[in-house]
Amino acid sequence: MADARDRARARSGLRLVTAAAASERSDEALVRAFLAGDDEAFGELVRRHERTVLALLKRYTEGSPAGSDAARDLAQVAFVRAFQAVRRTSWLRAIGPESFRAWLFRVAVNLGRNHARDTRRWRRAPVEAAEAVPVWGVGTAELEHAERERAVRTAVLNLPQRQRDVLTLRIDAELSFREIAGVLGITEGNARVHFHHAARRLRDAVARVEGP
Amino acid sequence: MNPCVELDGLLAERASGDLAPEDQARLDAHLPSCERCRAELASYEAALDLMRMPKGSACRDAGVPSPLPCGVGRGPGRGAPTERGREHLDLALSTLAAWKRHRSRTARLALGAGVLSVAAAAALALAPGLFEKRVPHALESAAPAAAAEPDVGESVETSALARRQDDEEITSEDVALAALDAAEQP
Ligand SMILES: [Zn+2]
Repeated sequence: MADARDRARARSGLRLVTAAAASERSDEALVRAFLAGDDEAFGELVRRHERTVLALLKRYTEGSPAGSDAARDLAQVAFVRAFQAVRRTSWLRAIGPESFRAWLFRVAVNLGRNHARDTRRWRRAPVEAAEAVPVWGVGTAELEHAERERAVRTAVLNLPQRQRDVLTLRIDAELSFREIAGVLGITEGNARVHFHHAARRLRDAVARVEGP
Repeated sequence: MNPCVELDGLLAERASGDLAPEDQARLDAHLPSCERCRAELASYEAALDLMRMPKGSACRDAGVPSPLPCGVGRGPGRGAPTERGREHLDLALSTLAAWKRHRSRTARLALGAGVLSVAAAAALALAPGLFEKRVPHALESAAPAAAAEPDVGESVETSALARRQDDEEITSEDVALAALDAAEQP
């Protein structure tokens, strides 16, 4: 569809500004352009997904010594690996449309998971989320909110691996349960059950902060 | 079984915004008459919202007051990034730079391999599957080492990594690649 739009515009003689056109193209169109040597398409793919990839990775790196630096380093590795896979395989034919994202997120989750596992080797105590510092206000409401937020982030960090994978893919990456099942190689029903458990833990963490 | 217990998981799914249609109907039939489940739904929504809340420097840099979402955790298309900080641009640029280095190393190694042995090429022609499967893995695994050392003498070490899949463990080589790339940024 984006391709058709681009072609229509080209026919109508409108000059395409590369960046503007790129932001409207599908992931798959960008991947094709990238394979044809278009660096701009590469950059656009990174820009389009970096927030989600970083958000995913932060669920695994937060609380580790390297912190957000680790998330950024891993994000870069995730992109490079995803592009390597695209380049190496006849990926577009093999996996089909709409799945560059899924592939990228899968690589990111695996990197994050391994990072968390390696970090945990050196630690016995549960992981604590970084202190949430309210930036704009120091009123009671802001502090309470920050405390609840921190409790939830800490709960995420201490979820069993699968629950955390499902939760972050659903909430941070906004994948459907069906897509999550595909990414993680589990059934959709299984993904939903993991999500139930994870959400319960988050809810309970908030309840504990709020008290009886 | 108590219907509220049975429906609890569906409340969580609904709070996340992805509930199967048939389950939606079940909840719709139950919720109006059950205050407890309505309260549970609200607490799930609150907990997931807290998870979505922004954190870190990106939001602060953008001048977004702390309790307001600023796009972290929002997927593409919805709630598009409200700011394009330098941090984000840098990631695209540094990733592209890492990619280009990877490509040039790959090309260099491939060229070297081609010059080395016509016989090997003939052998590879007989087993193209082997070539496709193993060589790119070896090259990508070798990439960080190649940046630090001469290209010779890597084949033994990297062959063990050659069967590695993309989504398998992150290795020390990956970490090194990331670190090298970070160090090379001006
Ligand atoms: Zn009920």
